[in-house]
Amino acid sequence: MKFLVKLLSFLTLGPHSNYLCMLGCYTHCRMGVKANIVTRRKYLTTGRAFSNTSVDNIIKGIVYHSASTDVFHNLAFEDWVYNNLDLTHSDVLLLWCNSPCVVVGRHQNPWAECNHRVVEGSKVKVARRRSGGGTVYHDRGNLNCSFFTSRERYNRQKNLKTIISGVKRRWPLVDLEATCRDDIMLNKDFKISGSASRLGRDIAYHHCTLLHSCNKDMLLEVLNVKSNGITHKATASVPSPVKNLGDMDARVYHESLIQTIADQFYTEREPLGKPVIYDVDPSDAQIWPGVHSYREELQSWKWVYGKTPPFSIQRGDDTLSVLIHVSQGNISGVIVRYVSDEILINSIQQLCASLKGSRFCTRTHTTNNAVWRFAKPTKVYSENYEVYSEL
Amino acid sequence: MNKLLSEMRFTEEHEWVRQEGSTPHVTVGITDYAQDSLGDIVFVELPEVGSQVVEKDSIGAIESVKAVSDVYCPASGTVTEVNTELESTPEVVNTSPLEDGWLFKMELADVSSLDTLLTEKEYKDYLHGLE
Repeated sequence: MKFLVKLLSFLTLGPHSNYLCMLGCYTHCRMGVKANIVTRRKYLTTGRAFSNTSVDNIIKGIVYHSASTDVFHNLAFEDWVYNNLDLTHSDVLLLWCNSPCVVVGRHQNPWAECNHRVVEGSKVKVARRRSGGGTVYHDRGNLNCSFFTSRERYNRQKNLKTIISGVKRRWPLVDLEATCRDDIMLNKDFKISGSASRLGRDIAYHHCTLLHSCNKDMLLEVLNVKSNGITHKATASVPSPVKNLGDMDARVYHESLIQTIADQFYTEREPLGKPVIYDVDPSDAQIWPGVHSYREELQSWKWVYGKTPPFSIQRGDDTLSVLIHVSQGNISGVIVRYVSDEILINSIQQLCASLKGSRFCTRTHTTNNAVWRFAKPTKVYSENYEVYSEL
Repeated sequence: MNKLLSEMRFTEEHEWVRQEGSTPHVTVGITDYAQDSLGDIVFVELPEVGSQVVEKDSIGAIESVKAVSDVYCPASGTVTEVNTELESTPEVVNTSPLEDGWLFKMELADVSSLDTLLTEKEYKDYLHGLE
């Protein structure tokens, strides 16, 4: 049964804070589906200022669930919370999942981390998050949990314990353990969760994945990167064997998991409002002013690919090699080394000149091969010339 | 080391600022407390040379094995140079945070803005308060 309730509260500041978070909502309640613990979900729509009467030292908490499965909307919402909310007295837990995508860490090389020949032309998006760490594959079988706190209360092990305690309370036979690397292991051997964080002056967040029913075949295919001649200093991922929580217990899936984790979260904090999951639309710029600009940046080629640390890629053999230098995602230099009786310097230089300044992409691999085919000698004479064509 | 520290100013975000003589040119880095808290640094993201920066804005980031931490601008001005060595050897920030691990240099818009930063003693007192 639907009803609208005007909820006036949200995160505000203590008496000495500088920000004011303007949020309240008209709510829409519905019963949780297939839940042993009935949890009403509320939908955050419009905002109003409200004064929080929190008691000192008691931390309040609120759980959001993103209604979007667009990775850029969701990452933009993380940015919005990070840049706009004062969490001196409150914690926020954001639960979200994405349509199939690959998310690389802030300083990673997407060409080195995922199989672009599989990704290009498919529906799998490529995104770069603001936090560090390694590359992950997301689909609707992978739940993301973002724990936002004040800088002082930042504590990854505590957050992982929230997840593990919640899961174990509801599904006691599932064997989960947090490691010192802040991974969560299932049955000690399989990694079902990895963590990353972003730390600011006053606010911090720790977000982690949780595999419950992910398409493992797709995951392996997308993250399977064969040796491709790339030399780089970007952060490298640490691969691990993976498994789904749902493999251990079929009752573990998105809805049951978010309710379990939210319930556990609220047992550890005083609920800010009702102890329910609030559905949020992360694309609504009326509630989250400026969120579109974050999304624009996160979706831009400049961020996803242009942010890649400088790297080089080489193809070749004894007679010909092509080395391409890439900086900020653009080709900054091409070096061709070949042994040939034919002097093709001008032609090679023209070909290389056409590459310089252009965006690096998988098709450059093809161009790389084209240079190789173009310069490969067709005849062998008694004398060989070594020629370097460099920009 | 004592001489270095006494010439520096500090921020509550654990950055140090060293002025060149009495010019508006300064060098900026992070303190030993900061590098220790971060853990092993694997990547340093620096502002672009020539960019106009504003006090307290986030202008870069340092990635360690634990997290990405925002680097904040201690004062307003223009970035004149960045430590390009950190691209290949980011760990220098861990081993020599006050010298070889400097992050960037800038020209201050207002030299007097240095007076608002913490002295060495004030920074040490601030650190004691955090314990």
